[in-house]
Amino acid sequence: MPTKRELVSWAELLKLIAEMVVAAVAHLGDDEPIDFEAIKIRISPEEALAQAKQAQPAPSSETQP
Amino acid sequence: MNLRPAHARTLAMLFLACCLLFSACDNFERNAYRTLKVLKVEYELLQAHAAQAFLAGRLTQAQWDAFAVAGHRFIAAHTLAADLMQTYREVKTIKDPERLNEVSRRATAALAELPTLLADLRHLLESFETH
Repeated sequence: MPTKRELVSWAELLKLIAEMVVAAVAHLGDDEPIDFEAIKIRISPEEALAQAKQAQPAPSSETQP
Repeated sequence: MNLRPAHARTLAMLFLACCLLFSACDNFERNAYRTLKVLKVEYELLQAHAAQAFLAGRLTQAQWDAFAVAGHRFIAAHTLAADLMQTYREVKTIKDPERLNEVSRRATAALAELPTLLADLRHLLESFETH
């Protein structure tokens, strides 16, 4: 019997695969001018982590009675 | 559903092979451009997913660090392939067939390596999240 954590992980991974397929198909058909400089990966893992942290909802502050 | 990492990896490889075959109907530069562009988008999605998994506590610090190392390796390989393709474009204009063949050979090798690196990266992430 899979645990809740495993189910969440698989759901997230399947969502990721679906997103990757959609993104790949969306980028296959275009005929834009070729620019090899423009398609370099500019976001490092550290920058991606910083962006994900910023995108997180701020922790709710406790209200004073 | 019991999708094991090995199955997921096979699916990823099949998908990437399809992408490459799809683009094989066009010229070398256009194929390379599409391949690099699709791989960039896929990598950035994978990287964002890993960062969110780490923040959600599904990856440990050590696992995130291992992902980051492999990520930098993929970025370096992707950048090398893009640089070689840029060189190919430049060499093409100076009409030096020998040099063009050499750059073309190196660029093809660099491009061929990328889908495997990305599949390895995804497999690494899957193994972290499911074990």
